[in-house]
Amino acid sequence: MRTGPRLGRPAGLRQLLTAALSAQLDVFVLPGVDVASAAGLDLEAAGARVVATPRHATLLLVVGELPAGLREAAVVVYAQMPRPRVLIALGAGDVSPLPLPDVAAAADQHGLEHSLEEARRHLREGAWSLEAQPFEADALVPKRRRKKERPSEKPGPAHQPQHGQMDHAKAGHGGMDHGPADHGGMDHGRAADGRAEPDPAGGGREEPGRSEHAGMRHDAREHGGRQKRGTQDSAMQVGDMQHGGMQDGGMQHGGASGGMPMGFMSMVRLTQHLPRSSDGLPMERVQAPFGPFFPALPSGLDLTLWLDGDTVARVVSAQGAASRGIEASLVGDVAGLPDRLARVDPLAPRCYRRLAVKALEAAGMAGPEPAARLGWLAAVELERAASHLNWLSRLGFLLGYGWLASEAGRWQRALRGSRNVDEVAELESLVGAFLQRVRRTLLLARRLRGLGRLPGAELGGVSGPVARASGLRLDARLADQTYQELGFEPVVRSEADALARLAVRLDEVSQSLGLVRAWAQQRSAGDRQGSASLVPQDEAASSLVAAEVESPRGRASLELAVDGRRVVRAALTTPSPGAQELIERVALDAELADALVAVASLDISPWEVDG
Amino acid sequence: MTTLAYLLLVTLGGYGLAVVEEWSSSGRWRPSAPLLRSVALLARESLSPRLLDRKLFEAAPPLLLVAGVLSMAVLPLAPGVVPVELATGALWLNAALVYVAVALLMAGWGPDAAYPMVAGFRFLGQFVAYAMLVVMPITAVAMRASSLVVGDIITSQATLWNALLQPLGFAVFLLAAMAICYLPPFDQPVAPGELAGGVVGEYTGARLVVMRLARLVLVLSLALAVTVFYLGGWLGPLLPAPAWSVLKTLAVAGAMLAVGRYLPRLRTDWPLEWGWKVGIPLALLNIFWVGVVLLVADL
Repeated sequence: MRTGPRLGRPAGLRQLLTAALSAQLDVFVLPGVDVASAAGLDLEAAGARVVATPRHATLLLVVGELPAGLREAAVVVYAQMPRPRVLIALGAGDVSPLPLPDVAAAADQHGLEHSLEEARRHLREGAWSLEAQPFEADALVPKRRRKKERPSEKPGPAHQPQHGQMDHAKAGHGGMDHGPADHGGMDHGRAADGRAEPDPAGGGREEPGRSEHAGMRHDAREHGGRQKRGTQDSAMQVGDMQHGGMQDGGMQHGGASGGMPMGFMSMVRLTQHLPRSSDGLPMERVQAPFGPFFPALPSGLDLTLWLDGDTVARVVSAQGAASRGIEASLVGDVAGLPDRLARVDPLAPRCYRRLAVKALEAAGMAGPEPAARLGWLAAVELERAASHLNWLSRLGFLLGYGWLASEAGRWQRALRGSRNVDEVAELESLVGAFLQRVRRTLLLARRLRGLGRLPGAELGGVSGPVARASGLRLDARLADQTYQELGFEPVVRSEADALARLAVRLDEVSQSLGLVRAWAQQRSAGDRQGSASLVPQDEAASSLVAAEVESPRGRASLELAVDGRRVVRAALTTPSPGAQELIERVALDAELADALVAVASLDISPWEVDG
Repeated sequence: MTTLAYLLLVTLGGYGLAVVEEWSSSGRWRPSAPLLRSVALLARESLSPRLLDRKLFEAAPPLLLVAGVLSMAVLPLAPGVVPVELATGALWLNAALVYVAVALLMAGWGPDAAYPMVAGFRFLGQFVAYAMLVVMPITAVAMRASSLVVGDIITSQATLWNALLQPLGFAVFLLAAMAICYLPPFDQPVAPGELAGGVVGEYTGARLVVMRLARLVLVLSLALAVTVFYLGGWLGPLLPAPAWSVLKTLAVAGAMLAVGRYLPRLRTDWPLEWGWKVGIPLALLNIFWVGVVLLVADL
């Protein structure tokens, strides 16, 4: 705990404070609560309280391995946490450039409980330390340097702001755009130009930041960006606006008012470089990161919004923030393929395991029995139901609907943990009642109706619930004989908005549980005795096989080139890249909250997107 | 004595409400959580964002607390037990609440970050609609009492509570009170899911404690206002006067805190639209209704 504790002597009143600190564990989860829930972790039950910003957290909990790109962003999150802070890594492996974890354990409930206990001990014993050091990381430093080296920009009259350019956005917006390090912490460190880390002895404020500040203000003025002083003196602003219109620039007026420099506070001059809103009003746009760790959106989703007031004026969603060379990692021994493929998406591991087994079946190769004791169909369908509920829980959080967030989380954990068909049958009626209550929630339908409309004809290659909510009868399960025998018919809605996507997912949860029950009955009737396990065959000759499954997010397909007992080449197609391309369409020109809900309604898994 | 009574209400009542608030956000009953949370926050660093406007950032939490305390100062717990007896007490409440908007805007602007700024301006935009819905129902209760003295408004309800006589005004005032306390589903300025804490998102440590305490005081104050304007204040059988005030206030405050758990947050424009298009006509209708009732019946 070198970068975790506060600087000071651990004595006196502080010991009393640390007792409370260790009893109240506020935790910010990386990459996100969705991944932690999918791993079966129940943070509340373990005694932690999940908070929405690292500013309010004592613990940073890393669940599972973070791809290198996300680890860089994680550094900024860590730097934003007030001390004392504890870093916990659950099954995370190497977390550099984050500091060495204070506690490391396996990513299961037991590991979580153990590590929270350890964290409590750390907080009791080491909340203050004389050896505390400021946290430094390369990910924070070079951007600051680069910023200092950049010459100051002095726009001429013809200067047209290019909001596509990050640099302009930063300089031109002066004070407003101060780098994710100061935002809620959901950024990637891409603008961590000032050290977010306060000097332990300096009262939480430090000099580089100050000097930057001065520089920024200067920039802002020259750029005609909005200044705080200006807004404080609104009377003068109004006067200038009236004058400015007549006097072409209002410079004389500006000069005359209160001995200010020439042109100071002229509304025309101040706003002439600013982009126009859709209503023609010149508005300064604010760039705000909403990822990759924004708690209400899928973890790992790299999303930046330019806000024009509270309207989204520009959307940038970089693909592959979580990229880590998936296809290359699939090459290797055939026997290990299901395990390797299952690691692709922490939100739907069983589905990808099934995909690997299905491909190997097609190749006539041996494959291990799918994960569940219940058989593959139950495993895949339970995972679909759990994944939808996990999504629903995050939607509840985004909508500020606390009951939905906790109840959906509870049911998804129950489904993931169910061991046999009887348990599933028991859950089916309880979950059904829950879903019915969600459908009847006051204001929920009104909140979602019409958001993120995506007519089916314009969807392109998108599949899954998003496509089915737009009236497309697309489902990889339709081609599967087992599902045909069960009389499977996909849930299709035609409204094509966020409400339809919610309705489709709610119905699919019930449908999946129904499929598990029907399948179990069919099996017990003796229809499918032979399907329990795969019999290893002799070495196959080199072959090219393909398989597809319907994952909770849509059609996932795998093409394998198998040579002997080795996978020599693999091509994986996942539903999320297509869905990610829809982000701009659903978010642009929407009110901020609507844009976030619309993006969330796509249920993107950034883990499936390999850049 | 008066001060002591109010301190007791704020500490004990406020603590109880903090437990309800904790339940409302997490779904768990943990009676010790508010205490531990506050002390734990004191143990943490109070960070300042890098480009902050220090005056606004530092002044916002105390100002919010002051607004809550000031609004409570004119609301009596029992006959004669009131910190300040003002001839215009009922209007004073509305005047004090204006500083809630100022404080939240300062808290949003001060840290110079995108999330709080959007949150602060959201509240400013909505507050105009809410403030009208606080003052117009107050007009109607003052009409019945023929007085702006809060004590008179309470005693005017001896025959029938205002909540029953003017249910429209009661509903409108209660909703506006929740909105001014930015409680869910009116929590657009803090919106954990949309803006990662919004106006409180950049506050840590002791400043955050003040921010949270201020909101609780505000909730208590407005619940007390609902009690004195609509639920007969200290009036009630058997129990002593202050006990009735406290019980009613805590019940109202508890309800205000609990209801948000079962509703999604309102879209930013709904409170505005409903406030102007529905709330104000209803409040006017309520004034008209009370006028007619006062003319034809002697209540």
